[in-house]
Amino acid sequence: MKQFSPFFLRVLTRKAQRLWVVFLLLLALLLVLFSPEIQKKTQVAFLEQPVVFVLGGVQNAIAWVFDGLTAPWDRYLALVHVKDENRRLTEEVQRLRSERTRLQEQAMAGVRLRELLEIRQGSPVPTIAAQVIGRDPSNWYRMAVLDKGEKDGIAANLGVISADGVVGRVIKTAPHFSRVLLITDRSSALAALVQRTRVAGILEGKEGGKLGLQYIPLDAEIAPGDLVLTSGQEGIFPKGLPVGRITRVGRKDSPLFLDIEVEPTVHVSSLEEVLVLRGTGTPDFPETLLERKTP
Amino acid sequence: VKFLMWGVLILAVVAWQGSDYNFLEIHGIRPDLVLIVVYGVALIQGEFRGTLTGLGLGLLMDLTSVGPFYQNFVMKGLVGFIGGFLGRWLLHAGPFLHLWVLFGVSFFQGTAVSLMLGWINGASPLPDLRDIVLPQALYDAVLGSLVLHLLLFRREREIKVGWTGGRV
Repeated sequence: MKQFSPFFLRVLTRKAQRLWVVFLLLLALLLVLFSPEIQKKTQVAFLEQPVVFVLGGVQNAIAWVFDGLTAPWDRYLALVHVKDENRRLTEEVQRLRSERTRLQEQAMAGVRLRELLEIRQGSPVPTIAAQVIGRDPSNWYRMAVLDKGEKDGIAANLGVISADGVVGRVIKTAPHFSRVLLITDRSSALAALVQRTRVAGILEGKEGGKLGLQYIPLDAEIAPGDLVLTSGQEGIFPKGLPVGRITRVGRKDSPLFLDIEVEPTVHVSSLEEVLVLRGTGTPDFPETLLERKTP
Repeated sequence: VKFLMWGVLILAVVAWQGSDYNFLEIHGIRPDLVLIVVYGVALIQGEFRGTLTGLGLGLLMDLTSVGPFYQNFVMKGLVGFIGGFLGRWLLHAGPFLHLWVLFGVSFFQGTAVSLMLGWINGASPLPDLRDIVLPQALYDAVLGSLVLHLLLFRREREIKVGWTGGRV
C-alpha cells in the first residue's frame, strides 16, 4: 500500500520530519494559549487552567515556606523597639491632642474677644474688660466674681454686659475684685421694654435661670419671640441693650398684668469675659450692635 | 505645720466651692463641699473643733456669698456639732449613716433657706424644694458619704489594728 504523505515531508529526512511535527505542535499550542489574550477574555482559558493550578500550588507552597521562615523575624525580632515606639507615639498623640484643645480654646477665646472688642469700640459709653473668676458658693444666688475692682475703675451699680447682652450690675467692689449680681438672681430687677411694641415693664430674675417681665397690662401686644431690651430707666444701663427673648405669655393670678417669661440672651452659667460699662443711661446704646448676636 | 496645712486645705475647698472651675457642678447644682469637709473634720476631731470649724467656714462662705442670711454660719456649725457627736459615740459609722446624716442636714439647710427666700420674695418654696433643695441634698449625701468612706476607712482600720494588736 502506497503511503500518503505531503510533498514537503517527502523531500525531508525522517529526523527533519519529526522536528517539523514538533514545531507545528508547539505553534498550535501557542496559538491556543494566545488566543484568549487576543480575544481579551477575562477568564483563564481551558488549557491554561491546569498550568495555573499547578503553578499556583507551587507558588503557594513557596510563599508558605518563606513566610514561615521570615515570620519570627518580622513578628518578634524586628519588633524589639516597637514597644518603645508605641509609647513614644502614644505620648505624641496625647501631646498633639492637648495642643489641639489648647488651640481650639485659644481660637474660641479669640472669637469671643473680637466680639467684645467690636462692642467696646461701638459702645457710646467707656467700658472696662474683665474676666469672670468665680461664682456664688451656694446654689441659691446668681453672682459672679470679676478679676477687676476699684483700682481698675469699677464701682458699685455699674452695668455689666457681654457680647450677647446684659449680664448684671456690680454690687460690691474690692481693690482688685468685684461682685456682680446677675440678672437671673431673684433679687435682680431692671427696667426693660419690648423691642417690637415698645411696651415697658420691669424684668426680674426668677427661679431656674429665667426672667419675668412684670407689670405688662393684659391688653398689651406681646408675643413669644419678641426681643426685650433695656429701657435705661433705672439709670444703670443705656437704652437698647438686649436682655432676653419672650418665651411664654399667659395669665396667672393677677387680674391686671400678664405673666411673661423671658429667656436671657446671655448664658450666665458659661460667662467668661465681660465688659463693665463706666457710664449710665445716656446716650442710647445702638440696638444694631448687639441685636445681631441675639438668638 | 499641720494646722497650716489644714488651713490651706480648708481655704482651698471654700475657694473651689465658688470657683468658676468647679467641675462637680451638674445642671447648675454644685455640691456643698464645705458641708462635707466640716462633717469629716468633726468626725475625726470631735464636737468642739468640729463646731468651731463649721462656724468659721460657714462664716467665710456667707461672706463670699450675696445672700442676705448667715445660714451657712449656723448650719455648718450645727453640722460640725452633729459630726463630732457621731464620731465620738459611734465606733463604726458606716457610709450609709453618713449618707443619711448628710442628706438630712443638707435638706434641712436648703428647706430653711427656701422658706426664708419664699417669705421675702412672696413666692412659693415648692419649686425650689424640687429644683434645688432635693437634688443638692442627694448630691451632698452621695458624694460626701463616698468621700468620707474612702478617707475614713483607713483611719478606722488603723484604730482596729491599734486595739487588737494587729488582728483585724
